[in-house]
Amino acid sequence: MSPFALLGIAMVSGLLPLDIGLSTGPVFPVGAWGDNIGTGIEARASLAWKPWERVGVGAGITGCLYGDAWDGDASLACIGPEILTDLFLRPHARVFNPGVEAGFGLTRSRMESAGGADPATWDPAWRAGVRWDFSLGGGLRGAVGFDFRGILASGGSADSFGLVFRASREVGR
Amino acid sequence: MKKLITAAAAVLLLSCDRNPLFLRLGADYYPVASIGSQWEYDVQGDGSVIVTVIDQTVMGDRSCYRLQTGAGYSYWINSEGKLEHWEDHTVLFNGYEVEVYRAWVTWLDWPLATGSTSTDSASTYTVSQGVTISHKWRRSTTVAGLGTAAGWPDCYHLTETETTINWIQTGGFTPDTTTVTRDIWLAPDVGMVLKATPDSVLTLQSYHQGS
Repeated sequence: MSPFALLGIAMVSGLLPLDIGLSTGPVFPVGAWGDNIGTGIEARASLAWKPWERVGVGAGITGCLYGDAWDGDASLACIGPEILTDLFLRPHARVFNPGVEAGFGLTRSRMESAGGADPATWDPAWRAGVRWDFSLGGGLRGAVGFDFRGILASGGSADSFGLVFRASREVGR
Repeated sequence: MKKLITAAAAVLLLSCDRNPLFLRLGADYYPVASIGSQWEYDVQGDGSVIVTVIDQTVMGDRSCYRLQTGAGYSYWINSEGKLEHWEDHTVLFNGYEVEVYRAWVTWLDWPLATGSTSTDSASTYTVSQGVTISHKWRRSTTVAGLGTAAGWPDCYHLTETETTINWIQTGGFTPDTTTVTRDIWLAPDVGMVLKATPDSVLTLQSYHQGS
C-alpha cells in the first residue's frame, strides 16, 4: 500500500490530528510593482497535520485579488498551492497562543487592464508571519497576525504585506 | 513515492510559464518626469533627432514636463496611473494658424496590458475671420503585444490610428481628412524605443536618464 493511502486512512480514522483552517485579510503591495496596483484581498484554505502539539505541517491553496491603485480598472489575480508549517508556543491556550507560520509554493499571477490581459506567469512564492492564536469556543480556534510575502518573479521579487484573520478547527486528537 | 514526487515536480515545472509580469508592473514605460533625460533617435534615411525633457512648466493650469524635439515642444504629465498629453490642434487658414482644440488628453492608462484599447476623441469648432472651422479628431490606441524591439526586451507594442477632419466652411473648401497610423514600442524604464509610420522609422540609439 502506498504511503499516501496509509496517510489518508490514518487521517480519516482519526489517528493523525489535523488542523483545518480558513484565513483571509487585506494585502498591500510593497515596492514599485504596486505603483499602479493597489490593495488586495487574500484567502487561503489549509490542511495541516499536527505531528506534535506545537508543530503543524501541511498544504494549502491561496488566492488573491488586487485592484487598481487609481480610478482605472486594472486587477491582478493570483492563485497557487503551497506547503506550510507552523509553530505555536502554547497550544490549546484559551487566550494567548503566539506562533509563527511560513509557507512556500507556486503562484500563478495574471493581470488585466482596460479589456486586455498580459500572459499569466507561474513563479515560486513564500510567506512568513506571526500569529496570535486563541479559542473561539466550540472547538474552533481563531488567529490574527500578519505575513510578509514575496513572489520570486522573473526580473525581480514582488513583495507584499498582509493582515491575516484565521479560523480553524483541529480534528482527530 | 520517489517516482510520484518526481512526476509531480516535473508536471509543475512543465506547467510553469514564467514571464516578467512584475518587472513590467514596476517599470515606467514613459519616463518623462526626469529633467535632463535625453533620447537620441535614428531617423531612417534622414539623420537623427534628439528628444529632451527640458523643464517643468504649467499648461492648462496644470504642472507638466516640457519635452523638446528639434524646434518643437510637447507637454506631458505622468502621474496617478495615467500618461496625459497636451493636445494643441491648429488649422492653417488664410496664412494664420487658427487654434481649434487645446486640452489635456489621456494617452495611456497604466498598467498596460496586451489587448487593451483606448479611444479619445473631440469634436469642436471655432470662428475665424467670420468663417466657421470645424474640427473632429479621434485617436485609438491598442496594446498589440509584448516583445523585443530595437534590442530592448519586454516592450509593449502599441498600434495607434489618429484621424483628423478639418473643414473650413466657406466656398472652395471641402472636409480635409487625415489618417495617421503608428506602431510604437515602449521599453521598461526607457520609453519609446521604436516608432514606425508609413513615412518614417525612428529607432532609439541612446538614452540618458536625467535627474
